[in-house]
Amino acid sequence: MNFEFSKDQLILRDGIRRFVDERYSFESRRQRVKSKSTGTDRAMWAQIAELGWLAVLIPEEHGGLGWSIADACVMFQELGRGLVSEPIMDSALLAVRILTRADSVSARLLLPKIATGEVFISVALGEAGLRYEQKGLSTRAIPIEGGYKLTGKKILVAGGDVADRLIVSAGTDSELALFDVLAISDGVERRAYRLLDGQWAVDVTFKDVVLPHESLIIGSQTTEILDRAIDEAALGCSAEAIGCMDRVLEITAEYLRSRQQFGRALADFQVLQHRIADLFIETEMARSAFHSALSAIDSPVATRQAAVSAARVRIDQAAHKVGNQGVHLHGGMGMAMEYPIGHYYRRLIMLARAYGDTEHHLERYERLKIRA
Amino acid sequence: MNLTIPIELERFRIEVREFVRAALPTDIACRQREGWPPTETDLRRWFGILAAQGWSQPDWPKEHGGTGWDPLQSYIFEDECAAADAPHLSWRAGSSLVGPVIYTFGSNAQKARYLPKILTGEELWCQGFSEPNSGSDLASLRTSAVRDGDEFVVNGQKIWTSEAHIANLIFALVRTDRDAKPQRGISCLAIEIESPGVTVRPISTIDNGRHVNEVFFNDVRVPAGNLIGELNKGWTYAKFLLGNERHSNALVQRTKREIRKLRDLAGQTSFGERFIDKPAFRRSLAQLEIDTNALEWAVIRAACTHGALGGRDMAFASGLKVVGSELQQRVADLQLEVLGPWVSPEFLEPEEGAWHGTFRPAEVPVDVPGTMTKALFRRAATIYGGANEIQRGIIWRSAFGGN
Repeated sequence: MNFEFSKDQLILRDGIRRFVDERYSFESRRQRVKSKSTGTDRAMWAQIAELGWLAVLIPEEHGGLGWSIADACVMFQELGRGLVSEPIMDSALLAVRILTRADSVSARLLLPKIATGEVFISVALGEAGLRYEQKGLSTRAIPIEGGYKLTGKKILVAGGDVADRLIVSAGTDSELALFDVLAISDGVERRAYRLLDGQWAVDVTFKDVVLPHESLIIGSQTTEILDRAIDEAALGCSAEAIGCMDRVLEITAEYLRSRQQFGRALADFQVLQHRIADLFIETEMARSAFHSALSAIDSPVATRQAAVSAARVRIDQAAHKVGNQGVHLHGGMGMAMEYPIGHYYRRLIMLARAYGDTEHHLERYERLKIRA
Repeated sequence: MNLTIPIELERFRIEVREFVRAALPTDIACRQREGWPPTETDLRRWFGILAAQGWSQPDWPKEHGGTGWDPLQSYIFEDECAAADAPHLSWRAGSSLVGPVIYTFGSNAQKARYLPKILTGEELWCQGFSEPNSGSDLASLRTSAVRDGDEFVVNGQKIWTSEAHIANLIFALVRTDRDAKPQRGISCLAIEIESPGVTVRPISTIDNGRHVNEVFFNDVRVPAGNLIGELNKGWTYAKFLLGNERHSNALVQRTKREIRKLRDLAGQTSFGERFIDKPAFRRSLAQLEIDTNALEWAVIRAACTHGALGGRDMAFASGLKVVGSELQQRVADLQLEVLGPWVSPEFLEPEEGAWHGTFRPAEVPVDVPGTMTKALFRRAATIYGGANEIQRGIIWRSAFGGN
């Protein structure tokens, strides 16, 4: 066994770090947030595509790099560390994993275009009436002559404001299905808003949207395929949270070393040293929980689900503790938007709820491991 | 990065499992399963069995008579021992930890004199570190060794010395230079417990156990050849030794075993109900398993990257000790929760009747006394091996370059 990053992984990581330093600095981020930007930045997206980040998980035969989930997690960890707030998780991981396992050939043909950034794809799963579940969707796809008629509403669709296409989950008469919907179709209405971390999302209403037969991406065993892709995204969020936590620890320890009170550095106070030590422990336990889930990500379904949920509980709890204490240890500065710590805090509390929160994962773990 | 457990290791695990299950005497496993600390005789029997198999020192290299296993194999060995209810060889810790100091820093004569007898179990060592006024502040220790011809004359007192009552030798930290900085005036001496002037006095602990002792030195004459390594370098050797101990102190394999026991206890009907049927308990159990799983992977990571973590190595090892000890206590606390009112009676060890007085309710489950005893002893976990606050200080200093 080996826990070190491989040579290729280190190259990927260093590339992202360089990009962040040059083009995604905290200063530029603040400017963007201040400028009341009106949505996801497609120019930035083109740069991201050029760097190959969107191609990491796309199989080679579809124009991608064909790397593993472990490799992708190296990328997400570094994106977390660099506080890169772009909808990469949904487009480059969740959508790609769904399309790769799709029955429909036309769906798989989208992959090369996603890799290059030519097609921007978002994933619309969430509904106001359901908390992290895809059972009992109110969005319905009724079979009609020549295809389907889609009706319903999806919320919190990351990057949906600039998306060319949407992957939409809906109930058909028999079961759960996933559809590829052109974002500019008749009857599709999008309302955009900004998220806590500076990203943009939309709520989408589908009003009798007519879909052709070939828009059905996955129509059988959808739950299995979707659950698996969501678990993979949940794992990706873990990696991103760990990257955030690593950086929070660095900047917080640095703050304690530089800030002088009572004639000495805050870092001289043992109570604060021990607090940092506890956050270090939290972060390392989170990393180990992540390794545990990563090792089980291709296991049979029950093993995978229990492993991912166990990891997410541990990591989400660490994310809260590290985020909360990171802000607290910065004192008043922790409340100021001009310091990075508050931005990490915002990102961490979002990540801790992406693709399932602590309660959701504890419940799933308990169902699989305690009551079974 | 490769997180798959190699097939050879799975094979190794099965080999260890088959040996341990077949070789471990049933009565020893039974006593262990009930939660009682092993008797000295049981420990010597089990150690003898392992020694005959060549497995008495899983962490030592082959050239010094160890198994030559890598840290992951040692980890698996301990995991299988815990799962089979083999006694935890805590008494071996003295010997296991002293051995590496001897083969790394000792003379050839010392290696020849001491190592073979550690391997067979013929000689047991304890560690003479803490003193009445030097606990967490170990470097302030005062037990003195003054050179007199070919001998050192040792005076002073050690305390909390684990297993001194069954040990043959004590690996003692002694002050050999009063004028130097505290850390620079300490040396390591091997002292035979039978030497004139050595007195071992037991301390009875809150679990009614016999684990730790006071050791008094009154003009004890120790041959100069018993100085391990160089004069006044003892602090370096002690840190080397304690660094090794921190890896094993997580005891996550034992915690996994205790969680299985907790599940068993919670599944039994007691006071008219099963604890596992309570939602709040199930939630606590889930959280405990989740936290233990993270620790297990951290221990595996430490085993795989041993020595390669650089400056964060020390911090990481200290983190394992903190989390490991806290989880040992948490699982014990949950066991107590399940026992409920049964925590109150005072129990004695089986050979003493297991029960004070003459009345023993028929309803008391068989594993209550042992479980209680072990839970009480677990309070020591956050104190020994460097209290958890000492570990947090180490984490700050070594990972954040602080002062």
